[in-house]
Amino acid sequence: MVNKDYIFNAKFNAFTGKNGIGKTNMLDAIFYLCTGKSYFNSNDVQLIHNEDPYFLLKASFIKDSLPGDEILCALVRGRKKVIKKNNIPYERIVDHYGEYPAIMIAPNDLELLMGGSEERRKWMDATIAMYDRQYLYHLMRYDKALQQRNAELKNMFQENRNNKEVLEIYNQILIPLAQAIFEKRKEFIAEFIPVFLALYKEISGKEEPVGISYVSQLQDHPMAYLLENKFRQDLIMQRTSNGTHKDDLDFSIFSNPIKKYGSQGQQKSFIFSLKLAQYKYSISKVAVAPILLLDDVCERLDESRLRNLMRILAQQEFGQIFISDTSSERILNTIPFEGEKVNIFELSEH
Amino acid sequence: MNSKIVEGAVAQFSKLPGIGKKTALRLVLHLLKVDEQNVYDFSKALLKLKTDLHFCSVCHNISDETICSICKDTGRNHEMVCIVEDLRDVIAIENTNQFRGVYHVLGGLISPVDGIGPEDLNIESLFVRFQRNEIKELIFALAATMEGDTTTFYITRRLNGSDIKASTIARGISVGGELEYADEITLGRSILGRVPYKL
Ligand SMILES: [Zn+2]
Repeated sequence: MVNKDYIFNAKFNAFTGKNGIGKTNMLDAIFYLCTGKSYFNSNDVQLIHNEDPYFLLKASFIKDSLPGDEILCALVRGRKKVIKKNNIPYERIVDHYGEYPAIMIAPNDLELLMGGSEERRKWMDATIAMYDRQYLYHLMRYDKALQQRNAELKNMFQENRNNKEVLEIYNQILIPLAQAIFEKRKEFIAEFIPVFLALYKEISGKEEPVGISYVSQLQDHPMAYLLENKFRQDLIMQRTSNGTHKDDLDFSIFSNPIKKYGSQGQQKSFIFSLKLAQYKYSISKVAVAPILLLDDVCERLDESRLRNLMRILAQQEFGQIFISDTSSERILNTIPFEGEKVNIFELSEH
Repeated sequence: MNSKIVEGAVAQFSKLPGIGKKTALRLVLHLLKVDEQNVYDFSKALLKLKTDLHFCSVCHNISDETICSICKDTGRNHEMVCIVEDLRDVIAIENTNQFRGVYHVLGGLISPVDGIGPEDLNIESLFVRFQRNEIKELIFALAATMEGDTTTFYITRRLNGSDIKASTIARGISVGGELEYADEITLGRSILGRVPYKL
């Protein structure tokens, strides 16, 4: 087994080394300690190195220069994962989420533009849940009720049953949850857009009209109406066709979908602006500035965009930053940070 | 293994929840060492579970006779009925010594995902008790989960418009909402500090 310890700089840290040396893993380990899950892989077992029996992550957080919590995350093969705060295990892992907010910016973020609506809902939910625990519980309850409602539709269809008594209960559970989720997402997007627009201008250095709009079936009808009105259709499909689980975000440039009409450069600017705006927005909502993790950004941005990005990161409001890159020199040449504010960790084979 | 008989016994033991092959073998080896009478008593006790044990015809609690000792107890308040998922909850609540009413054991919770509907549970017999005007107050002591909520919801909806008093035990009683794991003091306090449920 491999065992490593690090002491980080309060402002800026870089992991450097050749590809495949484990730079991304380092960032993901920090993300895991902050949020209780991997940014890249939802299958925890696959995070255990080779044939090792377990993985263990431990961090001592520091808040306002004072010792904060000690967080431990561990997974032994064949067992349930454990997260402990100051040696006390969480009863529900999900309760760790939001304790130490972290935002990762990584190459696969492009999926937010290119992928299906689920990616965008997940992103929106992760952002809101970071500062609103209630919202997270609502989402989890909604998912559970939705699964049960879909199963009930299936049972009704297969048994050729007309009795809606049980289905009606799930409707009653889903209706207020859907309305609450809808209101929260609407409120979030309205507050988020101005932050995003300002950053897009700063990163791209251009005055291109970009936009984000929230799309939900609940904009036209309340959840109660949707469930009632689509019942026949739902019964035949054996699943719930309407609700906040179908919400989406429209990303546009010059009023056209950026996925189709944006140049590669515009798409990159869009994604970086979106993630940095997520960061800036979160600062206004949480007590501690989130930890920012930047995976392989230097390779992905042209020089002018990279310099714009670094200038933004140097602003006071940005908290602790971790970055990965193949070249230590490039890091030193592009970052606008003073020497004592930078730690570079050159990763090697052992 | 070179004995089909031992192998067969190990296979039977390892069918039990929480018993792996290793533990099963240990138990079988232990039984080989004890007196024949002991093993005979052990197997007889097991058989009796199936041949002599009844489920109470009133509350569905386990019972040696048609009606269980709790339902027979005239010292208890038969107008106050605590609705629970299964036998383990009855045991947990009885251990608190805080509850002097009677029970109704549903035998599960509504969960379409697991193929369990109201007709699979002891719900109709509850309404029979209710129609006979035997019940004045219901206490729902079901798990604080979606399934528990759904079941409470289902039963209370059908009681709509009646003058039955309904309440749920104070929530957040334990890890994951499982009643069985709540320690006795917390559970006793929950039974006393109930939250009224609006019908
Ligand atoms: Zn009984």
